[in-house]
Amino acid sequence: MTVRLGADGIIHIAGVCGVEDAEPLLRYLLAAPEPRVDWHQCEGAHTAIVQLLLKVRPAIDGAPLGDFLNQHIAPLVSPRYAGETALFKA
Amino acid sequence: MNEFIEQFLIEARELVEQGTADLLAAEERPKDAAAIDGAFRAFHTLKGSAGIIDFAAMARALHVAEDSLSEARGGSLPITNELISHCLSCLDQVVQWLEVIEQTGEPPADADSGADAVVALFEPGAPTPAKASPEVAANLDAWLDALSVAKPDVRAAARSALCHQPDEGSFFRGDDPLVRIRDLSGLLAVDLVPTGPAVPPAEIDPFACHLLIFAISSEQVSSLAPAFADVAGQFEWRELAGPVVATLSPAAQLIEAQIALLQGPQGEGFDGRKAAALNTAINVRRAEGRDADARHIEHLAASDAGVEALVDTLRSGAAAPADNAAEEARASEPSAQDLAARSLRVNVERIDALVRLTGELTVLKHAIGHAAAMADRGDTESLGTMLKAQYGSLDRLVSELQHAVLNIRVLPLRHVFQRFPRLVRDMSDKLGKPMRLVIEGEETEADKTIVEALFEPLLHVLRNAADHGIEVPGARAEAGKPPTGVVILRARRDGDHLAVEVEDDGRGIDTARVRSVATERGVASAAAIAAMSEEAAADLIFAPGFSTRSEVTGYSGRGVGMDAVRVAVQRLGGRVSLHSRPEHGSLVRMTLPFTIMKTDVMTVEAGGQVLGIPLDTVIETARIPRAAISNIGAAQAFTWRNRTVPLLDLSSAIDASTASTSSADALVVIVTIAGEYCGLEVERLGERMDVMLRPMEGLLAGLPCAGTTLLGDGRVLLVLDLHELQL
Repeated sequence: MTVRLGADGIIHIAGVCGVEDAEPLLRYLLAAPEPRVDWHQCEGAHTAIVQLLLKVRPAIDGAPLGDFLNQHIAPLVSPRYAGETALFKA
Repeated sequence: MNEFIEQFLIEARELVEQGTADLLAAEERPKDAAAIDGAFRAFHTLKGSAGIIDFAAMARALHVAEDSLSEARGGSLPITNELISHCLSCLDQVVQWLEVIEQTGEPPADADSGADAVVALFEPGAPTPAKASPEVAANLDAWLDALSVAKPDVRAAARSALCHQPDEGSFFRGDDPLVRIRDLSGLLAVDLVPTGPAVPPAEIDPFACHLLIFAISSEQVSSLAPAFADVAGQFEWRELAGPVVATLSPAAQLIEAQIALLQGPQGEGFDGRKAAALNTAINVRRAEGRDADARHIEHLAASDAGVEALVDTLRSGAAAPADNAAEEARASEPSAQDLAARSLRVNVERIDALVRLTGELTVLKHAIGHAAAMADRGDTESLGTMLKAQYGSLDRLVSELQHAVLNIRVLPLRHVFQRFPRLVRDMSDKLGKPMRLVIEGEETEADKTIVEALFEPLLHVLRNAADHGIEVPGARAEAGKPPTGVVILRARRDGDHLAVEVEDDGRGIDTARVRSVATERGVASAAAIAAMSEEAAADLIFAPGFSTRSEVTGYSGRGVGMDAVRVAVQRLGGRVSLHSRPEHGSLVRMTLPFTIMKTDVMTVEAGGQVLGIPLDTVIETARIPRAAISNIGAAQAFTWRNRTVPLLDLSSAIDASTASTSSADALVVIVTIAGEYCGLEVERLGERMDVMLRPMEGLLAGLPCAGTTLLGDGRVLLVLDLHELQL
C-alpha cells in the first residue's frame, strides 16, 4: 500500500503513487480534522495525488525522495515554503 | 552512406510521391478503388522498406496509417478529408526522416516522438491539438511576468515556456501530465495552479484534472513540443529569448572576435594584428553579401582611422539585424537541395541506344585507323574522299550521340508537376478558397535542368493564382461562377520550345489597380504608366519592386513577387507572358527552350577574342556605314528599319582591348534582349554552330557567360549571356 493511515493519524505516502491512490488519499484527508501527510518515502506521485495535496493543503512532513517532487513540487504543496507557493493565482 | 541506404532513400522518395498522388486522387474521387489501393500499397511497401533498414519508428508510424487505409479500402472507414490529411502528415514525417537519413546515413535517434505523434493522429477520437484559449495564453504571460520578478536568474536561462491545461478527463485516459513535465529536457521550474470552481474538500473529484501547469525549460520549443503531440488538453508554448551570446550567428561571432583583437593591447605587432582583423571583418561582410559595409571598413582602414572608430563601425554592422523578411522567405521556401532530384532513373531503351551508337563509333574508329595507315603508306589517292565520307558518318554519329545523351537527361514534367496537387490542397485549406488543380500534359518532356528549375517559378505563379486570382466563395457566387476555383497547370511542346502555362478562372488582373500601385511604387513614371496599353499595364506585375497586395499573406505577397519568376525563367533562356481577362481569369505562359545544354550559336570576333552569341537572340547582321552612326552623349545609335537602335562596341562591353575601329563600315549584329533591339559592333563574323555548353563553374561562375565550349582549333569559345552583359 503506497498510501496508508498510520496509527498516529498521519497519512503516509511512500514509493511511487499511482492515480488509483488518489481515492484512498482523499478519504484519509477528509477523515482527519487536521490532516497531516508524511511523504519522505515518496519517490513519485501521480498528478492526481499532487492535485489533492494542492487543493486540501494538509500539513506536509518531510522532503519527498523523488528528485522531481523534491525540487519542483514540494515547494508548491508544503506550507513550510509558505513564501514560495504559486507565483501566480489563476 | 552505404548502397543499401541509398537505394532505400531513392525508393522511399518515390513511394512517398506515389502515396501522395494516390491519396489526393482518392480524396477527389472517393469511389476510385484504384487510387485508395495505390495509396495502401505505397504505405505498405514503404513500411516494408523501413523494416529492412531496421527503422522501427517509421514502420510503426506507417503501420497505423496503413491500417486506416486498409479499413478505408474495405469500406469500413469513410475516406474523409481528415483521414487523407492524417495520411499526408504521416508522409510529411517520413520525408523529414528521409532528410535526416540522407544527411547522417542512419535513422534519427529521436524518431519515436515523431512516430508517437503520427500514431496519435490515427487513434479513434484522437484529440486534434487544440489551440489554447486566449485565457491560457494570458495566464502564461502573467506567470512569466511574475517569474521574472521572483526568480530573474531562472527566467534568464529559459528558452521556452509552457502553460498546459490538461483535459479534465486526462487521468481516465491514463495520462499523467506531471510525468510529461518531469521528463521535459532542460526543465528549470514548474508551477501548479488549481483551477475550476472552489468546492469544499468533501466534494472534490479526485479523478478530474483541474490544474494549470506552468513550466519553463532551457531547451527550445521545437525540441520539446513533439513530446506532447499526443496529450489531450490545451497548450500554450512560448519561445523565450535566450542569452545573447548563444544567438550570435557565426558571422557575428567572427566580428566579435575581431573587435576583441582590435581592443587588445596595442603593443608590438599591433599593426599586423589590426590589418589581419580588418581583413577578416571585410571578408565576413562580403560573405554575408554586405558589400557596402565591407567597402566602408576598407575605407576606414585605408584612412588610418582610430581603433575606436573601427570598433564602432564593426559593432554597428554587427548590430544591424539581418534581413528578416528575406530570412523568413528563405526558411519557408523549399531548399535547393530539396529541389534537385538526387538521381536519375533512365529508361533502358535510352541506354540501349547509347550502346548501339558506341558500337557504330567503334566501327568508324577502325575505318579511320585504316585511313591513317593508308596515309602512312603514302597511298593518298582516294584518301580525301574516304576521310570526307568518314567525316560524314562521324558527323551523323556524333549528332545522334548528342541527341541520345541529351535524351537521358530528359524528364517528363510530371516530376515537378506531381508536387503541386498537395501544395494547392494546402493553400486551398489555408486560404479558405476551394480550389482544384487540373494538370495537363504532364508527360511532356524537357531537360532535367529545366524541369527541376521550374519548380520555384511555378510555385510562385500558382501561389499568386490561388491568392490573388481565385476569389473567395462568396465573390465567386456573385460573379456566377462555380464555388470551386479551377487552376490549370498545362505543359506542351511548342516546336523547339516548351510551353508551361498556369491558368485560373479567377478575377483576372485589375489593371487600374496595377497602374495605381505601380505609380505609387515608382515602377515607372506616371505618364508612361498612364499611356500603357492594358496588356502592358498587366505586365507591370513582373516589374521589380511590384507587389499588388499590401497585406502579406503566408503564400504570396512576400515582396519577392512575379519579378522573381521572370528572372528565373529568363535565366533558363525563356520568356514569361501574361494574358488576363477581367472577371474571367488570367494565364501566365512560360516559354522555355527544350534543353539548355545544346545551343545554336553564332561566333563573332571582338577585341581579338572569339565569342559566341546565342542564335535565338540574333535578328540579323548588317554593315552600317560609320556616317550613319550618330553619337548621343557618350553612347552611339543608328537607324535600322525605321527605328533607332543603340550600338554597343562588344569589345568594350566585355572589357577586352579595343581594336582600332578604322574600317569604313561597322559590322553589327542586331540582337534582341528582353524585347529591346540592340546592335553589337564586332570585328568579324564567324560561323553558325551548335554547341554543347559547359556551364561556368567555380571562379568563373560570376561571368556574364552562358557557358563555354571548345572550337575545332582548340580555342575556348565563350558563349555570352546577353541578359547578363552590362550593357
